[in-house]
Amino acid sequence: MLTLFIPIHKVKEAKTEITLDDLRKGSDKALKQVYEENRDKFLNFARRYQLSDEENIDVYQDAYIIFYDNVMSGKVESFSSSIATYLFGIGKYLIFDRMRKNKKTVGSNFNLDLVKDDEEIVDGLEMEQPGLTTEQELLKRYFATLGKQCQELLTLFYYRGFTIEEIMEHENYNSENVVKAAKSRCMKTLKERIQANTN
Amino acid sequence: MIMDKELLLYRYFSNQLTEAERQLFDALLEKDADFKAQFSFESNLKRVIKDDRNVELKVKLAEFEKDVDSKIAIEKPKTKFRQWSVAASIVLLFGLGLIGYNSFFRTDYYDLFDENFDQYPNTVYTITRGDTSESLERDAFAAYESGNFQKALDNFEKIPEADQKIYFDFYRAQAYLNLGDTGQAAELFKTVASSGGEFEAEAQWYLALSYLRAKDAENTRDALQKLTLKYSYNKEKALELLKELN
Repeated sequence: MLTLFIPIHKVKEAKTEITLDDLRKGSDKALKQVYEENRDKFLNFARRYQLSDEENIDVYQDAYIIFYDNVMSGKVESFSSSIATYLFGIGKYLIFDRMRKNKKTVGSNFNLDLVKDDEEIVDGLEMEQPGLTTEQELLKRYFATLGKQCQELLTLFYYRGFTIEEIMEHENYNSENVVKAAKSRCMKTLKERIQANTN
Repeated sequence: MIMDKELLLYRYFSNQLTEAERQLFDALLEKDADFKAQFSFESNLKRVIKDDRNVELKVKLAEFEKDVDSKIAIEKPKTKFRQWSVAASIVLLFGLGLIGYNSFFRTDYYDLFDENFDQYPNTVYTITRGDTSESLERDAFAAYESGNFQKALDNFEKIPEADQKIYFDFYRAQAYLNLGDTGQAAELFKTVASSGGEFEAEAQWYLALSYLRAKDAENTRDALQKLTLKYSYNKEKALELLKELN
């Protein structure tokens, strides 16, 4: 019997390729697609460790947030590795961290050598999420009192890593100087509010 | 000079510092208290904004998770419906005097395979940005990730015996399966599945899929049964597939 072989990856329906730019621009559609595309693979992979399904979903979401934060802060600049590789690398790190905290031992069937490879990916990224310091809590409280425009501008700059020029284009400011002046004003207001309430 | 400091901070937070600027930046941080205070204020602000965004993000992910749950809930009744429709068609077929029995009941292996197959992602080799080491392993995984399976295989083959790792066989088998060479794929998956190491369960699942792709129902069933007895990996999918094949 003649069997026709067609490479499988060509048969499968082509999905829209998500680029780093889609994510960085804050597209919710991209965010959701990437979440769904990697979820089952991740959970299947995580099942070999001793955490519950609920914990694994939690780990997946934490890994996803860390990955996203690092895309935003420019630590992940290009997908030289696939998104899945990043998520699995971060996820594995988080799982081992949790298992350590749960005082669960790592069974003999886990090859810890593989973790070494993951260290490479984790090394370049910001992983630590310690709680906020008193100073930061205060800052958080007063940041929330700023006008929407200030919050947006500062978020674009400090979280999304936009340059002044990019902010100008994104928010329809007239010139870079207007953006700079607005940013200075927002920072000044924030500092003044904190000072007025701590003195 | 004030402008310079502002500019330095600006360039730091937008990831644009050059090496020389970085040195100046570090020096200022060391000896200029005002600069340090401003830097720490901005760093704290960055951390706080990130915290806010992460809370928002977590809410969004929880929403996505709810959507996934409801999708699964929708899919389940569909399977029931399918069982009923199979039952209905049996009645219908007997009514029609078994006309077209063969064509109705021929299992569509390609469809089943397509529904179940997902290329296993590279979870072992990190291809980092600026990684210039031109190792064969790196090339193999880079080709694998970009879907160039023949090239991936060629590179895996070129790796000297002494540097071979157990998981190479798993990914070589993946590459063969993607190229449609189910024979080679099955052989390698079998080796990995009985190796007692990493990817054991995964290999058992993909071994079943290799047989499925080759339209070998008997071996597919055997492999799936073994999977469901020994592992939890893809157990539900395997049980579902077994039902379809029986």
